[in-house]
Amino acid sequence: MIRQFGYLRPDSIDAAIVMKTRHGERARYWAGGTDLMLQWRRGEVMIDHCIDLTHLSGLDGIEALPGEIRIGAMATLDDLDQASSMHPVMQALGDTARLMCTKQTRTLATVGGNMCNASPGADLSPLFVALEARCLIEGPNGRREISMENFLTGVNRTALDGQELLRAIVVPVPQARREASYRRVARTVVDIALVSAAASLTADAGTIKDARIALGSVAPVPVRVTEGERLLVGRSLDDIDSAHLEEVAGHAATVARPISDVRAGAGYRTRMCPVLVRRALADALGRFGGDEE
Amino acid sequence: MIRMTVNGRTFDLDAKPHERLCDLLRRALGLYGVRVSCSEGECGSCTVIMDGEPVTSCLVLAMQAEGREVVTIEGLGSEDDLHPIQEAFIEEQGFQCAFCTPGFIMAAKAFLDENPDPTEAEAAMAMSGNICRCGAYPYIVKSVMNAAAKLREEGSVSNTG
Ligand SMILES: Cc1cc2nc3c(=O)[nH]c(=O)nc-3n(C[C@H](O)[C@H](O)[C@H](O)COP(=O)(O)OP(=O)(O)OC[C@H]3O[C@@H](n4cnc5c(N)ncnc54)[C@H](O)[C@@H]3O)c2cc1C
Ligand code: FES
Ligand code: FES
Repeated sequence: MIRQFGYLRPDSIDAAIVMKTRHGERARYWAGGTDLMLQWRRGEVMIDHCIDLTHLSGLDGIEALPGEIRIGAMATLDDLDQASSMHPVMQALGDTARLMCTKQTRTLATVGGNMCNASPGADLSPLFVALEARCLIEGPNGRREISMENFLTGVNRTALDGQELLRAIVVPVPQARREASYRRVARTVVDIALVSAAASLTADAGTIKDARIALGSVAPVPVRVTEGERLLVGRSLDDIDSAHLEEVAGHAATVARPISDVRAGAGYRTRMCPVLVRRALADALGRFGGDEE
Repeated sequence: MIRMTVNGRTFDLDAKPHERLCDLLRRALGLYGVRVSCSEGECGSCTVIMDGEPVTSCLVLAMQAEGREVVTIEGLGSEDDLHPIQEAFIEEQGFQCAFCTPGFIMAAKAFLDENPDPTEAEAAMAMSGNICRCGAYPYIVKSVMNAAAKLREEGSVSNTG
């Protein structure tokens, strides 16, 4: 079957939204195309019009603003990798980006595309959830902002309505020190995560003020391990020993709802959840050690 | 018509709206060194350099490359004047059938531009976006290390010269 589509190149974000509004469901925003090209060629998505976002300005770039870091939706995974040294929270994002895809696809794949494609295995989603990231959305009726937890609504489903466009992802930078980490298991270095965990800890004067743990690939959307998080808040960083980590991580297995597929069984995935939570927490804790601010 | 620079020359090309960059380079310019194999971004055989960065040209729309500068294996060296990375792949026998070789060399070029003095582990990691069905991997890593040494030497010669 010969498939083809029309090509549209908006010269502004507003123009892109007008095009999407006019052409409807079978017009697609085209970012890096690393998901879309495959889905279109396999006939999984029907496209009449490609609305190419790559030539637009104002959607790329990673910017440090007071109290937050703003990642343009069109920033690539490679850009995220290069921005690692900007801030401790960017360190975790950069480390994660480097695990994803291959070098020659990281230069194409965008952060926004990873979120909008909303695969349960998308590596950035658990980490963005753990980092309390928010999504800046632009649509025909103006702008709105929602948390990443509310943005991801299901397998390949987001809170974007038909015409809306993801403009940027905002990662808050709290006053107190925050360290985060993401761990996954995958069959090979270039494979998608079978199961993953992200942890973010915020501590003031050696005491944990806030803890967020999110699991990936074990449900349609990232799952928070709230019981485990509660056990961490109020603790002194120095007090946390392996028995304590074990207890926190143990709660991960109870919230996971994984599926079995060709890549791994549900039992394996469930058993790996506590292991990965423990590893991610140990990484984050380790980063507090030594170089106190 | 879209304008792009390919291997140092500017072209006005008639690209179809849904055409991939790899197909345009092969169809309109006869650049058959752009090898298309998996068409899914997995194997790296279609790797070209766009504005200094390596990209899998099977995942890029030709339209996205408008105004960009693209370099393919044909732009690296010629039969009479091989690029040091090409020389290194021959010296170290970094291939068997050589189907994957242009992709590996373009990935190596982008990598060595960024990291001229890599460790073997870094070189191996940098090649992980390319697949060699013949399994020449150990020789490919050796080729990249040899190429790095050649390029460093060339750099120091041209710096003093
Ligand atoms: C070889 C290979 C390896 C991969 N490895 C990984 C991996 O390890 N981990 C991982 O998580 N993913 C991986 N992926 C998947 C993919 O690369 C990522 O999901 C990527 O980040 C998608 O971004 P994109 O810019 O290519 O999105 P596109 O394909 O352009 O778009 C994806 C979807 O999002 C929509 N969209 C994009 N941007 C916007 C926007 N700003 N506003 C509204 N809608 C938008 C598009 O319409 C489309 O529906 C891999 C892909 C390949 C080909
Ligand atoms: S053909 Fe492009 S990556 Fe395999
Ligand atoms: S040499 Fe044959 S595929 Fe690599």
